[in-house]
Amino acid sequence: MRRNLLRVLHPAFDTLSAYADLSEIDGAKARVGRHVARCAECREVVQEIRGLGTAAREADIEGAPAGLWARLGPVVARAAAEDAAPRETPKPDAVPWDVAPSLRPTRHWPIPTRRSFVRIIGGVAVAAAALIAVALGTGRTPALLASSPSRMTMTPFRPAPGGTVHVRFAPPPRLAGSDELALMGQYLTDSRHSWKDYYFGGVYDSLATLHRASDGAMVGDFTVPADFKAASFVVFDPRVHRFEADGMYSWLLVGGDSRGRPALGSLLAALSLDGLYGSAARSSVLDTLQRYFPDHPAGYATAKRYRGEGVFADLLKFFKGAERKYVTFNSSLERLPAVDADRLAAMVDFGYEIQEPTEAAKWTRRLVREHPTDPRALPAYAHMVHELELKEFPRDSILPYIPLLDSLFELSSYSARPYRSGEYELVQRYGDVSMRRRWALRSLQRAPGPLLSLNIEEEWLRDREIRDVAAQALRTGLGAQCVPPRWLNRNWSSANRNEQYCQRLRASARASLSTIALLDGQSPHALALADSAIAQYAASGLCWTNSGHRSRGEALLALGDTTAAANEFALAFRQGTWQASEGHAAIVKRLGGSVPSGKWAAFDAEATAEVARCARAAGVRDSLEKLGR
Amino acid sequence: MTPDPGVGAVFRSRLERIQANDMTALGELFADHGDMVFRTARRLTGNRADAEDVTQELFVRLPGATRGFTGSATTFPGWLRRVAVRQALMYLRGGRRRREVSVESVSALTMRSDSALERLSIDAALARLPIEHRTVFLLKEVEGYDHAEIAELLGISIANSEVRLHRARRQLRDLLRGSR
Repeated sequence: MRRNLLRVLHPAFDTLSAYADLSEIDGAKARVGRHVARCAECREVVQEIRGLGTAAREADIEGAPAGLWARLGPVVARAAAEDAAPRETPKPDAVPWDVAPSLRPTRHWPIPTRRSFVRIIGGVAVAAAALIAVALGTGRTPALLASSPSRMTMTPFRPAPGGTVHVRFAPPPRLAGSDELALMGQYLTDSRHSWKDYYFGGVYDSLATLHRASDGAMVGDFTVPADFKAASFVVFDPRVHRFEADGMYSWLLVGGDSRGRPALGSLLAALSLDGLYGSAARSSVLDTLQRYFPDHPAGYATAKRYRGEGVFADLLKFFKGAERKYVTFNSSLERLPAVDADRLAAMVDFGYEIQEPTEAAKWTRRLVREHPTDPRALPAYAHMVHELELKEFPRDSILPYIPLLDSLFELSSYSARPYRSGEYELVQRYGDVSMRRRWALRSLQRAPGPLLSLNIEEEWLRDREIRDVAAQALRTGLGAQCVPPRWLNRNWSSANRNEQYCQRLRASARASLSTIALLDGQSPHALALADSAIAQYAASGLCWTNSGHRSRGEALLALGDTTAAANEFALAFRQGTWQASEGHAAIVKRLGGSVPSGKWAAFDAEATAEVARCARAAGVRDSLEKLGR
Repeated sequence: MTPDPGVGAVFRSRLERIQANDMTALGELFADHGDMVFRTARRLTGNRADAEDVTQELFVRLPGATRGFTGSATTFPGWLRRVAVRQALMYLRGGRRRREVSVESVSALTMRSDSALERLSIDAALARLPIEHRTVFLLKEVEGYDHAEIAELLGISIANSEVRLHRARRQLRDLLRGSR
């Protein structure tokens, strides 16, 4: 009887879960503690709950994979070198690192537990009234805009192709002293509809000189091209300080028709700008797409369910959540015999957004089948294959997918990336030798602009044809104008930092050319190029470079000066750097007994001391620069 | 026990070198703590690729972030772990998870119909939880945060944090029991 009564009155799981977190003393005091003390079944549940935590803590989570630092090191080094410039004063709503990272407050909904259910029912009327009050009270200007120190407005808001735009810019305090500012723009047009132009620099067109108006604002006019879709902007002051956003709201102009309605093509072009990912400007484009083109999946594919726009607005968004929208678009588009590439690409994104990769794969296959020449088909297909790879599918089951990657490269207008892309890496991992070689060659030939940094593995330079193409691409790159990418010191960038960036890229190109010269049997030329690379790295403020010293070491070795070469290699594979772990031992082994171990130790110590000296000098120089500013 | 002043000096010197963007010092730090950072990120993000992204971002930001660190060599690992947690949460919140590597998202590709018959590891069971439940569970049980801290970290209420924890536990228990 007592046992049956206990069963009927067992505490809820949540109660036992809360009890499991209490200390022994607190637990004994709790009412539920007395029940648990008598009830073996509940004690078992509590034990299980505590066991979950123990199991999670003791779970064998893999550590950092071998060679991770070898991969991350260069990225971190590059970022460290490029990000050393002081940033603009953080915006009031920017979140410093040492506080909660809640960039967007999450909204909470009442959770109808059994205990609170009656109270919730009873309070529906009150809640409804409160909801209306909140809805009325939360129609506010987005905080990001409201708090920004600058404001740019363009009239008309959505210019038609070929139209004139009037710019009015209330500058931030940093630019307040300038009477003239240069407005530069980067257009996305029919012929330039690609994220690469935006994100990796490309050429800015000078649009207008902004003059100070009587009310203090900077004003000017410019005319957009006849095939205009969208544009991003930056403003430079005479000292080449750069601005490109109001707070976190990037300056983006989207084209429209003569009545000011947004054009679908312009909105889609604006969405293709990866540099805007996660920005308020992108949210605004998504909102416009949803409002004006509700039948197009692109407006919903990458939109989040909650935006923190107020309880009422969020509630409405909840009922038109991503999954529901996906189902609607899926059923309407699935039965169509042909769908345009924009919609299919949006459905691929949508599939991944709702965490349904099989759905994404379904739309990827349609995109590839119906629009194989679309530049989005190849990356989407590579993404799909990569999903299999990441799930550790056996190599044999991935291999059949690879030939189509190759065909898509041939078919599509897709151009190679200025770095080793995911699709390139897939082919290098799974393709046969001839396919891998073809991709290496194409990557150089179809690079989107002048190359200063090789987008293929150095091993391919042993191939004569690839080497010649690489040499030509690098020489062209050295002769071309170097435009730093937009991600370099976003919002604020000095001419000095941009120059440093370009110097380092040029130095990297010279180091690669040195390797090529060496492979061509021109050792003295290789040595001269390596010297030039090291000098340029040093001029850019970089105290240490692997590629420069490695190239110089190889050239010296080819010229027969083994001791000097060892000295260079000691610098290149300096202890403590990521290259050292694999490179140092290999080079010591390679040079064998020709360099005594005592000599290596001396070279290593000298290399470490030299870099430390340089770093101290650079630190002093940076401090002086800051003081000067 | 009094800490060895030599250790403190070495640590401070390394910290200064990190703040001066010395890659050697960062490499040394990675050698000492990279595993811990990666594991923390791997737990919270649920997959290796995201964990690598988080680790990379953390080490990119570390030279600046350490300027705000006022503790000692002994408190540094704890501080770094909390920074790793915050970095991982920022990454998740930023919606920048690599779609191609989300464990939940790809499970459908490989999940066999009889997968319920397999015995699930706690890691595999955690991977099947909704991310908001998993995050709270891991913060509470593994990282040792209390509900007030979790609420602050995630921008949710304390009650919500408690409810998410209970739900995570219930789901985990069901998953693990179902797999037996």
